[in-house]
Amino acid sequence: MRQAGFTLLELLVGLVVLGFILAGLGGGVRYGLRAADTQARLSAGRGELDAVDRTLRRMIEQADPGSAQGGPLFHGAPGRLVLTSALPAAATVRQADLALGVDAAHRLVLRWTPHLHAVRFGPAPAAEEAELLRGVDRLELSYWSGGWRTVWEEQALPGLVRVRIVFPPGDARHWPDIVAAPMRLRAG
Amino acid sequence: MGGERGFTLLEVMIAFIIAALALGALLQGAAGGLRSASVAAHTQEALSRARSRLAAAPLTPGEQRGDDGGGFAWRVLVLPAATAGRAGDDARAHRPVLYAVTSTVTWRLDGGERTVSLTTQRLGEAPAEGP
Repeated sequence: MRQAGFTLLELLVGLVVLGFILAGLGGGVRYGLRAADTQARLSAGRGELDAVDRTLRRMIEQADPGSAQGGPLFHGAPGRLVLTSALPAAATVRQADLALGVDAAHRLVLRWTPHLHAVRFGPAPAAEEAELLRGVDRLELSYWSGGWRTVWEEQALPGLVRVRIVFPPGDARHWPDIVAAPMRLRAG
Repeated sequence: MGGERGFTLLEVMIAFIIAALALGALLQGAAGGLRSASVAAHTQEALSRARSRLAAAPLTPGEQRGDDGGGFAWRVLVLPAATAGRAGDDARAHRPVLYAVTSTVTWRLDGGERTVSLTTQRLGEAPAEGP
């Protein structure tokens, strides 16, 4: 029995239909992958920023006002903040001398050494360092006392601290200004 | 040809329609995921804004509102919650007052309005009352 093969036309139609199916599937898969990728990046970046937000807020709220004898422990510059506060990562409250700033590699970095109510005889321990964010253009800090100032070298703590994290142009990340109020008062 | 028949055009079309429907459902799921991620991102940002407004709230009873930029609107409501001491006390101006501070941030997304609201209580001094 002689088997009838496909005609050229049938073959062409079949190929075109196969092409449509492949194009549809390919497009769908590509869209799905891109959506998953965007979603992962969005939530990961946001989660990181939210964690930084909470860390900085807690740090500023718990800032140590210092004492009349020891002088202030809070030193604010436009792009750098030095203060004594509760260490954000510690499960138990541990005081530490903290410095927050953006380093040359455009990382938002927190450096700390343990805070001692004592005179140190030996060399100071090496500062530990934690990277909070990568790819930060700069930090803009302001201190409130009746108006926003960019430098704070007073005895008392500022009423509010505003932290603006500026990302380089073209970076999709953005975060609103973080405004936090130091909560602790100097005794006596 | 024997008993073998190919698919009719109609059958192929129906198969295509079913495949298209399935693909549509998949894409809709992906779009829904993206939308949810966007809502979550906006909520996180709104929460940060609300926390900032809460920290900056002045301890005077009343309501303040304004535009927070980025499509967010804020509202801070300060109400006295409790007052220590009696009204007839001498040191009337220095009675501590517990204020209930509520900060609300609202934004529009997909035609709907979304809101986050934070409430705290802060201790302040009673405003000096007039004679």
